[in-house]
Amino acid sequence: MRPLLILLLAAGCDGFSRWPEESTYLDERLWDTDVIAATDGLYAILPHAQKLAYIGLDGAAAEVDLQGAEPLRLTLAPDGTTLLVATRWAVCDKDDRKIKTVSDCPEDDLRYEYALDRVEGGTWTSTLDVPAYLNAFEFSHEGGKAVVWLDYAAYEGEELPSDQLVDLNSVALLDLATETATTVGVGFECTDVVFSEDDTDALVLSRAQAVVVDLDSFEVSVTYPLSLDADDDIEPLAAEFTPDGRYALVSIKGQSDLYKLDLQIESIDILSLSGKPSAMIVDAATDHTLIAYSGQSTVELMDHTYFELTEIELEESVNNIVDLGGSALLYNDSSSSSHDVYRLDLESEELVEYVLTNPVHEVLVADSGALALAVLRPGSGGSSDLEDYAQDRWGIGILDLTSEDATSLTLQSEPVGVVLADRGDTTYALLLLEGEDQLLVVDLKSPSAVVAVDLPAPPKGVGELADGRFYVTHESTFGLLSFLDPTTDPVSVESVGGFATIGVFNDDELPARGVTE
Amino acid sequence: MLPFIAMFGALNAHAANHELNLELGRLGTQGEAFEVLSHYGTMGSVGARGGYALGERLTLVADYQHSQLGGSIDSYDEEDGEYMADGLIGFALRAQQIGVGVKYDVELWPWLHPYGTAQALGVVGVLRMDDDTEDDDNVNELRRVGVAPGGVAALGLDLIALRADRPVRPATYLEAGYAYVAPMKLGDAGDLDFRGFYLRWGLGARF
Repeated sequence: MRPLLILLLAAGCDGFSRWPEESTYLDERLWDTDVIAATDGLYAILPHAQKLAYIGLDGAAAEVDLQGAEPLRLTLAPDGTTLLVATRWAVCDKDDRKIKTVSDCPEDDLRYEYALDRVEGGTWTSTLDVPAYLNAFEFSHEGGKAVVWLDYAAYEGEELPSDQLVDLNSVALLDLATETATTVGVGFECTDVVFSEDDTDALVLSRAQAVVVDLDSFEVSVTYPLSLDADDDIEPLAAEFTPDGRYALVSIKGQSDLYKLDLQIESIDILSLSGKPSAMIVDAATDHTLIAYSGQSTVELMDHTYFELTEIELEESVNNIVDLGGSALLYNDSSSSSHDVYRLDLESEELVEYVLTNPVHEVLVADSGALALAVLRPGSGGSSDLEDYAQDRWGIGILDLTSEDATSLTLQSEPVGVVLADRGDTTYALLLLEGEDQLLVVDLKSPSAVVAVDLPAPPKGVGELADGRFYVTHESTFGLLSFLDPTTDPVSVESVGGFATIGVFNDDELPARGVTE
Repeated sequence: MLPFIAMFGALNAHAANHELNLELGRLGTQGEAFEVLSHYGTMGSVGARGGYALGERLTLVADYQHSQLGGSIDSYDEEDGEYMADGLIGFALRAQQIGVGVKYDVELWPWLHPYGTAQALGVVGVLRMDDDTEDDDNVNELRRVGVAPGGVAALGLDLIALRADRPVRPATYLEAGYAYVAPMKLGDAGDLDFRGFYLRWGLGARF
């Protein structure tokens, strides 16, 4: 009698003042914080529930019905509204009415089918006929077409999703308007894809060859072998079309040769460079190519008429180029002794040097083109205690691209998220620092006036929304996003959460989804 | 056949009893979804049952059970490759079972009454989820409510203390059977399935 009375007393207590004592576990995280921001909302994969969540700009969250399929990868098309979702679903080949879930199906009878689904506005619209193992997308400039190819490194050793046959020599050409896809042979191991300025051609680089594909007919126009000896291991590094679309310039990994492919008379010229290129841009405004070299304090400028190289001397070596349209920023992200960022006018060859306190990690340019932000990493070699203080820490450098002014600021920890945004007549930098529950809003025109915005949970990343606001993802098991508007005073913060619990109690039912032709 | 029926009738020549009992119970759960709340495959409960005798062998019964499932969740940290047992994540389901039906019993001996029961069963569940139980202002304190109808069929044994001259006689019973409940929809969080094994043990009185 006594145990029963004790139980009844316990039942009469408020059970929610304490959580039950039992301990269980979640075998997978509830949501992936690498969200995709479309123009009308954000998408997040829910690994535990094997579902896709859509969070509207008003904060309302819902499941995207993929007809029982599990989302694997997300790719946003350049139009900002079309989301391409690589999906898979389980199929049980044993015909038995008692088999309702994946767990019910014998292992030998269980298999998976794959597809590429199209989602818009939080709703599934169609399935595209693209081989499932192709996982990398390169979109045309206007965004209506794409080349889909296999980036094997992205699978990190996992098995490729496939049927019986995997063609490692082909890519898929996708027309998003007509939703048609064509598979084209381009050679083994595609490494890069570039589109001509007018989107009439795509250059597909693979091992030892470059293939030009006509984007109207989806057929191979020309195949350029990059070596006459099949045993040569030629690995293209990067490629660009000249602005007139006649030539394609291909750099080769580990070589100081630049292949000039003439698409008109179908020939190859090999140009000798002064070193092994580390970066290359083709500037449409000045119709020049700019090449940077690893470990060299020079860059070379090449015209597209005679393809003559003009060497430009720098004080420090650079290995990265940011195209500004008519000019370029040059910097080195691997050397601890390089603190300079250069702005080179590609027409006049005028050089501006920005000297910063620390080595450069990366450079971001505002859309207005008036300001740039350099993320500075810890370096070495300070000549005073104050320099040592700055050298030991991460920082930011604000570059005025209309003058020679540069301002360096020191941060207390590593920035884990940086976004630039033009608002009105100024540019804001939103910074997330590691270990800090605050977002720093820096007006790059008045960097001393930093606004620290308190966040509801430790942040993971920051991004920009189409409506002018920004979003921050948080370390929160049930899902948490904050929407911020840095132009308001105080900075407005609205948080939405709980979306990662969508489908947390769903069983592994076998979907009724069939194969779509 | 007629002699058997006559003998059966003689065995059941007893006065009908009202009843009031305290109960412990178990209700089966189905599906991997329940693994987030419990690994045991059943949900324990505590409650009470009342019965109103409609006739010599037929009793109208009403049953109430209260359950609480869940606990702290260890989340998997992919970066570290291990489970984080920080105990900050909580899932708790409070479920109320309400059953109404009939019970038909026979008397084998004055102290032993086998019976059968069939009840309509309704389960009301309130689910609480919190991904930071130490923060009273946590944005992610979530609540979902679900209702699921169903039914129960079970067989049991009543043990009634002798001393028929007493107005109130202690009794105990044990019944087991099968329960079917429609999936309990908890909004976008998904469904919970209560189905299968059904058990009640009660201690009370007949009067």
